[in-house]
Amino acid sequence: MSHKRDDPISLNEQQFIKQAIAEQMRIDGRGLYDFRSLKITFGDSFGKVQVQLGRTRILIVTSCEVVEPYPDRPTEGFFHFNINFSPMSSPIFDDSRPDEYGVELGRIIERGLRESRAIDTEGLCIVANEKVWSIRLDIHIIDHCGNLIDCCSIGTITALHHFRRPDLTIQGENVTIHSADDREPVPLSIHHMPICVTFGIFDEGNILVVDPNWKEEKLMSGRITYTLNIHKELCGIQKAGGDSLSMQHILDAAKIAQVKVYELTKAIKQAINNDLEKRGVEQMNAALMVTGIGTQESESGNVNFYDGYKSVSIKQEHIEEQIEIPKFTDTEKDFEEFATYLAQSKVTVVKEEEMKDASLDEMDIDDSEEETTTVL
Amino acid sequence: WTIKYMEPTRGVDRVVFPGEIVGNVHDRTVPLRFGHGLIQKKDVVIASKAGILRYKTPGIYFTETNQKRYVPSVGDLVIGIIEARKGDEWTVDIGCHQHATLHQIEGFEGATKKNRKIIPVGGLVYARVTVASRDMEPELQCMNSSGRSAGFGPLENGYMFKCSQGLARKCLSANSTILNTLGSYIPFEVAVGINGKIWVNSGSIRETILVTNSIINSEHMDPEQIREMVNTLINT
Repeated sequence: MSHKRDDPISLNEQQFIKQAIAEQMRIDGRGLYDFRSLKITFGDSFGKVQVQLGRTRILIVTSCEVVEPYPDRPTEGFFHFNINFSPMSSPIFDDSRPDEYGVELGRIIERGLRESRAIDTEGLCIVANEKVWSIRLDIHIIDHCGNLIDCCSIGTITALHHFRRPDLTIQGENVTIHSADDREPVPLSIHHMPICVTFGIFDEGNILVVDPNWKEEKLMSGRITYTLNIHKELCGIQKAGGDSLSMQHILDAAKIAQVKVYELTKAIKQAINNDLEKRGVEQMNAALMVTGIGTQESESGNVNFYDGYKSVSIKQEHIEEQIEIPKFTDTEKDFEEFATYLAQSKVTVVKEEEMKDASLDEMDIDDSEEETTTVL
Repeated sequence: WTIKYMEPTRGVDRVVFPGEIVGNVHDRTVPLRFGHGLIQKKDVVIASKAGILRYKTPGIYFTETNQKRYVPSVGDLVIGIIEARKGDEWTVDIGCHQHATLHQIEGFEGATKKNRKIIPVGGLVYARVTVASRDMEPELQCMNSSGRSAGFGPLENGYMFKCSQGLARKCLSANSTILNTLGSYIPFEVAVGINGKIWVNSGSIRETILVTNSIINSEHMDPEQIREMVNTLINT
């Protein structure tokens, strides 16, 4: 995790931080399981989000385009996630190709969304074989002060829920794409909100710390990321190397991550609803709840009130099989259930593939990833 | 380019910007010195850095600036991190354009080949800049100008954090509100490097974290707010 060009951390700091964590304290005064303060601001256009998690800051810009689909997948649109590691965010990034961490970051975000079927590529189809929507998310890392994974994950799902694509009408062969003044833009169909929660591993796998900042990231002996949504569905786990964890710790961390995801989802929904309200657009059909984490007002000064406003309702399409994570009380039995749950989810994915009878896709994700192997 | 003669319209304690003509030297008999951020060209004094224009009684004008990037100058007291050992010298990172060198024997009082301080790589040192030029590596020594080791040398334990130069300068002043207020509640030791690094050590980890976060938060506060903040933090 160290890099030649990065700011050095003295021995005094290393010892201090590790000792502090052993005593359940962190250098910025947080508890072991506290996130840094989250601030979400929206730009002038839909899908433009700036997320600040403590001092880590990213900017996401969403755009869409009508393109031709792949010939072997005629009804599927595209989602492109592009992460731009700006050298101004940290001395470890230069203008060269993204390194191991950059690639891993991109994969975790994309996998959390695709494989949990939060994003629906079929819903992006306009005319089969000819026209589909291609949604592009450009994630710009502005400040890297630790835990880019969670920050990018929060930003991505916020941007996807906030983004509105132009409405269109199809009359036979002709497709008319309406401008924003003509017809109100339409939201994407995002089925749920998978959010990543990253834990730093300290003390040879005995202590887990939520949302490590950059000094803690450099000193931790491993990292594990859980991607969960508010419906208690596990969308992914990522643990690439690092110190091993006991199964009790993995299960405990999943419970903690669940609580964190609940808080984060509230904060995100509150932020999006506040912004949509300012723009005069109907809010997401989530009850406004009191949040613990501060949200930010929208930057957009102009609020457009559309004449002849047509009400747009956002459908929450439920995923067909919702496998609940069982309550973890008894470790041994629970771990078996946990393992079967993971095995089950893999089986579902394989079945879908066989049904589609798809040929190899360039963007196909390797199935032999860490989320299906368990650490023993 | 020529300098246009301009009448300065305002006095000391005002904000100046680079390129602004701060004043004119009328009376050359009065000894005046122009310090940090001011350049004198013949009779005209121009600000080269953005900051607040200040005057100190024996006749020194300077701009009180704030920046994060450290540019070394001779006589600065800095905290450095030992990067590597090259023969009899240590390569020390003080946060400027190049790594500085600190000689193991010549940089310390009373050190000989047989008797020298052992500081591990990654350790902290409090040192004085002896050579600083924009083209050369800076050089350090752990002695004051008269060769005494007066508090310089390795810093053991504790915690170090980075800050802006303005905050470091405030902490270096004898009546720094934040350090005095904290000191009236918690016993701690502190070493302030003008290169924007501050080292704190205290009895317990909790106290050190408290002191660290107080100092970081006090940068943009006035003395009243600082006292309030410290009171609240101590009481929780």
